[in-house]
Amino acid sequence: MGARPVCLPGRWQHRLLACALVLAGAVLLATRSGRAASAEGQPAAPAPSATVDARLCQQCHWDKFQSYLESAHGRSGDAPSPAAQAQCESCHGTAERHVQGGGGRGVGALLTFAKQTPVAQRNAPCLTCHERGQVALWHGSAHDSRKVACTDCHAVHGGHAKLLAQPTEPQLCTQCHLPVRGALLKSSHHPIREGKLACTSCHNPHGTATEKLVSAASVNDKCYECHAETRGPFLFEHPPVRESCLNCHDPHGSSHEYLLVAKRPLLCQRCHQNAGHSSALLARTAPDAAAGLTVYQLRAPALVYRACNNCHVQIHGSNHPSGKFWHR
Amino acid sequence: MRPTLGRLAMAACVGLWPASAVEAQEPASAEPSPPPSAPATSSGGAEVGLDFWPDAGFGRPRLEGVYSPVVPDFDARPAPTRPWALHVSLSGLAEDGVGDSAKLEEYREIGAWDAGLRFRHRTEGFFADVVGRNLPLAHRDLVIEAGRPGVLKGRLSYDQIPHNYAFGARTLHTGSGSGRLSIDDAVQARLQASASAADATTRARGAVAEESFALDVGHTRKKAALALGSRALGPVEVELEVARELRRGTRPTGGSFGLANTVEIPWPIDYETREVRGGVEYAAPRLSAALGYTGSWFSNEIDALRFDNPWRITDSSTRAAASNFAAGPSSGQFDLAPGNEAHTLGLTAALGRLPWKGRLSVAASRGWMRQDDTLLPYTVNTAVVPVPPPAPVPPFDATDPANLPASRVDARMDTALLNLRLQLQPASAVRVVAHYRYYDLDNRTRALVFPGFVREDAEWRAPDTPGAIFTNLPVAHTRRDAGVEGSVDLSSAGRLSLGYTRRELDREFREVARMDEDRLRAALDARLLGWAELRASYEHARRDASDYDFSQHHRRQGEAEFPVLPFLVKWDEADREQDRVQVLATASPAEALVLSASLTHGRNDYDRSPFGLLGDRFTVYAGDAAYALGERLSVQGSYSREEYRYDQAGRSWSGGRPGDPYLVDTTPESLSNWQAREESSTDTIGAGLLAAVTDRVRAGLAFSYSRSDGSIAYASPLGTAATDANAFVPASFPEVDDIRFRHFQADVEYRLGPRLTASLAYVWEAYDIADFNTKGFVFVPASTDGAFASAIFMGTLPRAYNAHLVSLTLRLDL
Repeated sequence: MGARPVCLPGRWQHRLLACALVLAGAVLLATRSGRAASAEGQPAAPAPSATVDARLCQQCHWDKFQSYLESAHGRSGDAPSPAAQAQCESCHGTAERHVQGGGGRGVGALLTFAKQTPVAQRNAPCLTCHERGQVALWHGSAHDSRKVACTDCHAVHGGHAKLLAQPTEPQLCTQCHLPVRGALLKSSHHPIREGKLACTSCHNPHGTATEKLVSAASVNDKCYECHAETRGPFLFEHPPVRESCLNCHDPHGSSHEYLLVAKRPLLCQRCHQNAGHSSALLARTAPDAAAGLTVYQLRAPALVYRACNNCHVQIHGSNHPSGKFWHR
Repeated sequence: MRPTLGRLAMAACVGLWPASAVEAQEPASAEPSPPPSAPATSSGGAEVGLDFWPDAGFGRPRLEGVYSPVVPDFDARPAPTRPWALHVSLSGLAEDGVGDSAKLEEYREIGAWDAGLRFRHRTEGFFADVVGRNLPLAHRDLVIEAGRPGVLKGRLSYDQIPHNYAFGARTLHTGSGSGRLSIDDAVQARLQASASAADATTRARGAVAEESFALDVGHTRKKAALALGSRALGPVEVELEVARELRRGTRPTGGSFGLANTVEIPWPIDYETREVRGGVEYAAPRLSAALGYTGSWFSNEIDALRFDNPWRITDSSTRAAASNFAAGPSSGQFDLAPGNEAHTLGLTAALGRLPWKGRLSVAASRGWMRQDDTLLPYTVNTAVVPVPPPAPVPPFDATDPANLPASRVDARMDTALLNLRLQLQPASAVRVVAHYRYYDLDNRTRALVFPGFVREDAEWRAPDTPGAIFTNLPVAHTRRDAGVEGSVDLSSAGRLSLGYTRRELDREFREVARMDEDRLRAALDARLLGWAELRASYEHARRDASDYDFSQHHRRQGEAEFPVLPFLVKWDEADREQDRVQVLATASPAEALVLSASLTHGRNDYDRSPFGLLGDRFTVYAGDAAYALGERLSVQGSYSREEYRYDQAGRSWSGGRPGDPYLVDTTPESLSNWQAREESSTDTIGAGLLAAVTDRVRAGLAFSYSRSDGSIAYASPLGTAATDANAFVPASFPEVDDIRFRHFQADVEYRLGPRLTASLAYVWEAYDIADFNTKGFVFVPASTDGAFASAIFMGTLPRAYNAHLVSLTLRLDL
């Protein structure tokens, strides 16, 4: 019990501090070269591939330009960024005709990312650079299949953190996933509405190898990231627990304690009705109820309080030689 | 996806900006000219725009606005002429009605003071962000990010999450948070000396009233992480992250010494989890490939938990049946969560530009989970002397770990994942996606043979059948999914998709060895009239299981079929018909109006299961509307209703008595059968508005209300005691987790000057719960005759609260 892993010995505080110093040094070195190249806050000189100087675009679209300038897209020191490529035209296409036509809505056939623009066209500029990392499995994923555009969730001009179109992920995602909004407000919940977890703590909306866009090899692997004490493997496994935590828990929220999908003891009695107490009809008699007796006045320890879990505590698995029934 | 208020907000912001700025939007000239003067910032009008969704309570800005200086304004940007910006805020909070409910502070602390900061630095070659929230409080977090764009990025973070279960709980045990929970010997001796069950109840209640201790039950996570990423090598990106998380505290749990002897105790938590993630990725226009590794090490500083039995000062060799003071151990021992480690090696690759605009993606991973904890002895009860039925095994000392079949567990599980996805576009409007997924969980834990075990530290339990054994069963499973989905673009605005997936699931050491499922799916995504969207999908799945071997678990151990109910089919192994319908409609008939509505309905029928879960239904209706009234006011409202229904059947029975499926009622029909219908509904209402009253004043209101009602209806044929194991008319439970949660927030923000903003906020939050387990709660339950002292609880069920909070926040923008 409690055998400490032999890997990564030593004082972590020191290691963390050392890493922080390394990070600071690296950043410092990086900064030195960056400073020289930058005129603070000013738009960079036009990129070689641009047909229209971005500074021209800002004459009319100054608010968009401002947000572009402050975003990662506006950093000309970053070689793959639009600012280092064709600037505004990297995403919006050649603007020559737009400028020559005097500008205005619809002039020059610029790519505008409006709702009327086909999703594939809207997504193509984004995927030119972002088809990697977290987005590597986008093609054929749930959101791709349902014709979700990058700009449905991201406001490239003026978005919030990660250029999200809403201030927080739950606010963004529940615009379509409306049922989840109610779940997040339920009594038993993960600290999502407190801002400690977000949708992407468990899901990768850009595509994963697992159902429901869960960003792990399995649902359980995702849960173990925070609940490593339930990972085991255990001497006595509880089979449905090992198969999927979702058999008993609803991670989005529940009215029942511990995010359980149903009330105990009925939840347990879905599978367990052996001889004796586990099969018993755990209810009050009608006369008892009529007399106002509460469950605490009945001889039914398997019904009161946390029901089966009053005794079967190690329900995620037991390592005790006497833990066959998860009592210990 | 729907339009959002972001667009509306932008329009509103423009309206708030100084006229000079708006006038700057002149047609383009041929030559670049100097940029227009920036809007009045950093506390300028742009920050008082409607740039967030009034989310009615659950979003971070609205809910935490009171407690946190991280108000939406922190999304405002620094003036473009300055490379840095610093925002510092300080809040003072007054509260009333917080009380002793831990529910209000479940994941946060309500403190008298709060502070936060945000620093931002931008130059062409360097960026830095620092965000610190709730710095003096238990739910503080701090993130520092810095780097050179496109070359190097570093992230240092610290996050603290409290999890409070109960304040002011009561316990007879001392040593909370440690591995030894002790009760005063005098208390144990006094309870053991009870003359009757009623007397034991009286004595236990007296002990709780006079000699128990108050304690807060909860724990805190503290996680620090450092991540580095570099793209300095062009198409190759390298990432490395190390993290360490500590968890300290307690959580409520039960400890039993027999069926009629339960005591709730604080479970100690002293965990440490260390994690390393690393990866390298190569990306080129046609090919991308990433190799990653994750290692996780979990350790528990407290190996075992030994806890005293309130009713016994001396050990006995039998379990308490009805009179808990008459028999049982003086203490019990849990084996706490074992230290373990897991490693995963993963590969993701995507190959594009194949024929027919094809793209092939592969995700594969291999995982290893290991746990090799030292085994505890069978029991700490010195009176138990095991006498295993196989003659060669002599009686032995069950408290001596040397008498175990092994000293360590040596548990091993390996996982393997392979995910293939091929996307083709044979015609411009036609797309085909084929996918295959393989997931294998291989349990290589060795099987240990035990001659018996000690049940709840009270009595030796040998196999019922001579020659039988007890052993651990290394459950394992393998899942394969294969499918294809074809879609046709009906126009540039619509897509119709049809898909089929077959799933095969093989299990080891479960009742069903093989399950197959066929799933059909149709989806329509369309944009109508240019301003409305419709998304609809329907799924139907049929699951077939091979023969249900209800007694395999026992037979593997040489036991007879008894005592499993042979007619019961566990729902996750049962044949199943499943349907799912989802419809989402969104409309934006005017620039400033967004409407949406959704319907989700599902059903599961386990029609070949006479017992257990028979079926379930759920329906969720939801809708919301957002409207921007002019440029200075936006309103939003939402409503959802969830309805759930579960039907379940069971049979009360015990060996040789009414209902016994082997000897008495050998068919599925019996007077001892019972049915239960569990129903619940949740209504959620949200509303909010946000107004830019003047260029200096912004006000917001938000309200949310969540109401859950549940019930359980029981039914059972009525027989006599000779024919019916439950010879009574059962009453239903009309109150099952009936919960009311209300949140109201009003705040006003006033810009005192270009660098100083004051916010005044009021929050009312109320939580109420009615449940058959909270109604009539007592620390020591007793039946009407005064007996039944079978449990001592700590009182950790959720409690109601009705809290009023007022905060004043000052924010300085530099």
